[in-house]
Amino acid sequence: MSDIKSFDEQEEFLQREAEQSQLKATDADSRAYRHVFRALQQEPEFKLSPSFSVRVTSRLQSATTRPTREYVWLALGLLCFIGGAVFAVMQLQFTPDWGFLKGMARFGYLFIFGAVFIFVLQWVDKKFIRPTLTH
Amino acid sequence: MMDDRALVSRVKSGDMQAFGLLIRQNERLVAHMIGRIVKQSEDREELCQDVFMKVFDRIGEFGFQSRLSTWIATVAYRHAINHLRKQQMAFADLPESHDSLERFIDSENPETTLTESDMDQWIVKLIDQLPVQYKTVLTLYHLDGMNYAEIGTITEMPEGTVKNYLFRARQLLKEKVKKHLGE
Repeated sequence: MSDIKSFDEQEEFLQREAEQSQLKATDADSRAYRHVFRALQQEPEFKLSPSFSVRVTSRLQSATTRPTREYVWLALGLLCFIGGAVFAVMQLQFTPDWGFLKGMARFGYLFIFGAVFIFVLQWVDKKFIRPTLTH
Repeated sequence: MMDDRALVSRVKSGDMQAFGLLIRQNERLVAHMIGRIVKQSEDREELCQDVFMKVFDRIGEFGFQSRLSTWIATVAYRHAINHLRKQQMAFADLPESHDSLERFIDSENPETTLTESDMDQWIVKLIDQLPVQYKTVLTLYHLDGMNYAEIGTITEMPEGTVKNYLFRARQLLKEKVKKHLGE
């Protein structure tokens, strides 16, 4: 055990000396460490192109301007739709008729119960059932 | 050179020129991280672009708990690791077993005697063959001049582990070179 410790300590000493370029000894370990520490300063092969920053900023600019343009078209579309609907209602003198829903109004709580029940079912499924199926 | 706080505040306000400057100041660091961790050369430049896109999106979350470069390196490291996960490449298992490390040292060496620059290139290639954790700490320490605490922040490893990995990685490379030198 003490041999292992002293070996590691010796290695640490060699690494410290090599890092400070003070390793002058000519034994095999010292020579190998000198090679290793010199190579560790070498840049890896992979380099980015000189226009890299320009490419990223233009990608970013196109990504931020595109949604704005899309939102403008969406708003215009919605405006036309609402305008068209109002115009049509006015032209046809349309009056809403709730039909069978009038009769169902007395059972409003049933609709609320149904919605809450489905929501709870979905939550239980997501929280407790699905995790046990995937693991 | 603009200081980090001024630069970040200009980027937060949407100044693209300032963001271009931020990229130029940190692209070497990001290229080191991605270049060392990701082996497929065709993916690397795009991954570096993705890292800076993320940096731009999340710059509002950066609160100067560390240096800006440390934070950017963290984003790059996580992005590279997530890429490896998506490619289903193992990164988490560090081959601590004696056998796998022995295999690294015993793997084929160049047959001829190398010149100094060839030797440097050969060792750089050896670094690429090391486990991800080893080559990450080597790169951040030796090429990007980060200290143990900063490397720990980036890789989410305790400082002691960082120190140990750095020591073991250098030792492995030394053993390999020593074997090549025939001693």
